[in-house]
Amino acid sequence: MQIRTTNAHVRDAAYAMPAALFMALLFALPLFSVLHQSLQQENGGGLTIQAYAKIFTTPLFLRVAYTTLEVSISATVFSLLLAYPIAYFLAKQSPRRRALYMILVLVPFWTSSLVKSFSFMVLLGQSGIINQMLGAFGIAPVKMLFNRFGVMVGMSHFLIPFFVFPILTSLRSQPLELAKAAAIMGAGKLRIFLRVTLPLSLPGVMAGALLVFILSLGFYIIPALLGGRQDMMFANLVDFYTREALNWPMASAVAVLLVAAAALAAMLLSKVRGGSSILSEEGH
Amino acid sequence: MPDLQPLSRRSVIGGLTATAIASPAYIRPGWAQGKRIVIVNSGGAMGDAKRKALYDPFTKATGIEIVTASGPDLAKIKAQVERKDVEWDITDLNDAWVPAAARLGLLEKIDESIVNRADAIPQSKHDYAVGGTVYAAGIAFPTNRLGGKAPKTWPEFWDAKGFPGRRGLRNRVTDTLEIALMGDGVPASQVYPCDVERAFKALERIKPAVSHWIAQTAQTVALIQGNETDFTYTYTTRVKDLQAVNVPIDYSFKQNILGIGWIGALKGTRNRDAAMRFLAFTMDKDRQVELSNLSGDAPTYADALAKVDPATRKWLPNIADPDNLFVNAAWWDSRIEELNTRFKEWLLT
Repeated sequence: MQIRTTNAHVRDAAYAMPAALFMALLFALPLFSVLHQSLQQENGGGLTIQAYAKIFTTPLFLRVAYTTLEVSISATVFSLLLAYPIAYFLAKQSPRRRALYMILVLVPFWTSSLVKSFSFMVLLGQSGIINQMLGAFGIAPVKMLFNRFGVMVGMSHFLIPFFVFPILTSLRSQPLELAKAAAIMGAGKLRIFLRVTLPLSLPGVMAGALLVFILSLGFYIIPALLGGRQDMMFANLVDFYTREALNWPMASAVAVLLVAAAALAAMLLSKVRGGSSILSEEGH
Repeated sequence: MPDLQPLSRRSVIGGLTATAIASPAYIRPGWAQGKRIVIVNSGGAMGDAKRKALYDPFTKATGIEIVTASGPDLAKIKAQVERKDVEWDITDLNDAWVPAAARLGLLEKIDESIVNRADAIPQSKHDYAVGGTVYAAGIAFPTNRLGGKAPKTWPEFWDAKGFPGRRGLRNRVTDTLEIALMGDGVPASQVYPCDVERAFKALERIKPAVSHWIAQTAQTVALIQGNETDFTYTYTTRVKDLQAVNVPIDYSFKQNILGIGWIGALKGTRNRDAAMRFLAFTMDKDRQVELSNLSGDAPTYADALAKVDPATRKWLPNIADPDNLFVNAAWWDSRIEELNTRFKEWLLT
């Protein structure tokens, strides 16, 4: 990194000002008011940590926290298994074809979650298209909706693009000579992948995993529409305390903890090699 | 320098008046004179029925324009009232909301000098809301599957062996707790005060047979149509609308849960007088008969029932049937948060 003058720093800061102001007004300020709300007593009065004390002794919160972690981790693994081959395939294409295929990767990303969830009901339901096809072969209908499987399908459909891009960056930054050198030394294709390509792409995998995990923590509509009775996540709990229980200090406290968890994961992201490729332009 | 005539007060006022007259009606601040009120309702078929039976006739009679918003929401009402920025004048209210909304000071007290509801059924009266309709909920089932064998009462619904099939219940504790007690054999007259422990035991027993704990009302019957459930808790109006388009579905009028379609005015509305006049209008017998004809829910006057079209009347619940249960919102008020939290926990295990 080159040495910069103070003037350049001031100039760069000026470029960031509009965005910083925008975020301060529309993100930091409301977030502060949520934090403030979480420290209120249920029936008014002074500041208190009552809501937090109640949260950590409520079995409902502990169960939902467990479910949120479980769903987020499995969605991350499920998406990785589907995204890695896509990234690998994309890395091998000519730039023109890659651009075309990347649009295909992004198409589901541009469709509303709500619309997609209803489409999954048509596809995966007991009388859905897939079960009708299975029925034609005399196979009994498989329950694919309103359970954890439905949640996984819905979530990974949304999350895959977030995984593909960091992995693709990692794969493309590998010097082609490395694979060639390994081949000259007599390694087979599988061995080259396992010993050279895969290890070198791990920073991209880690970065993607953290990003996808952070996004998963906040899922709301997909678990509500495609999940079963046990698939209640943090955001659904916030909704419950806001609209059904009308207990806003509790709703705010859950929201604060959710933001804290996401912030913690984001800090980890900045520490991982390859994570920087998402958080700044210095990687690639 | 030319002689500039100073602006006189009269010329300024005259100019403003001319501007006001020249501008089209919709940009005049009608709300300031109480000439426009905002009503939030649940939309759909009921929203259309209310537009025809209540809103348009009210505008015709009083000149007060009615604008509707969709999706009554207690949290949004609370936010509007607490921030003293009331955007909705009138709101539809669920049974369970009325005591909570009154306790939290979110509603205007009903002005009995404007609203006349002396003859209405007692269940439809509350200091802070008027009851405009009676709705009924019970068991719906498909007529094209399972050989037409379906539970018609709550004990039958709870009999998973005698009536095999996937069941649909709501994912909230209100109504579900009462249903569980009736399913366990408690007669409607003894449901309140609810024996909570007995209800949860009964819920535990039916849990394995319940395939869906439903969040949205529209899903109740949609899941039957989509062959995801076989028997479901739903409302008469939903089944009536589907039968009208020849969907093979039917409804049991035994052991129905009866509730009131409440309407209230938001505390601090800038149009309190117009809002009260509208509430009085909804308690007009003829308006209620018209609304019943269009919506399929019952009027809150016992003697208005006979005036409803016979085709609609067969869908109306029998308010006098002792096997039907009127929701007791007052019982719920102090318990709803604790029981709803317990119910959600129970659903997750």
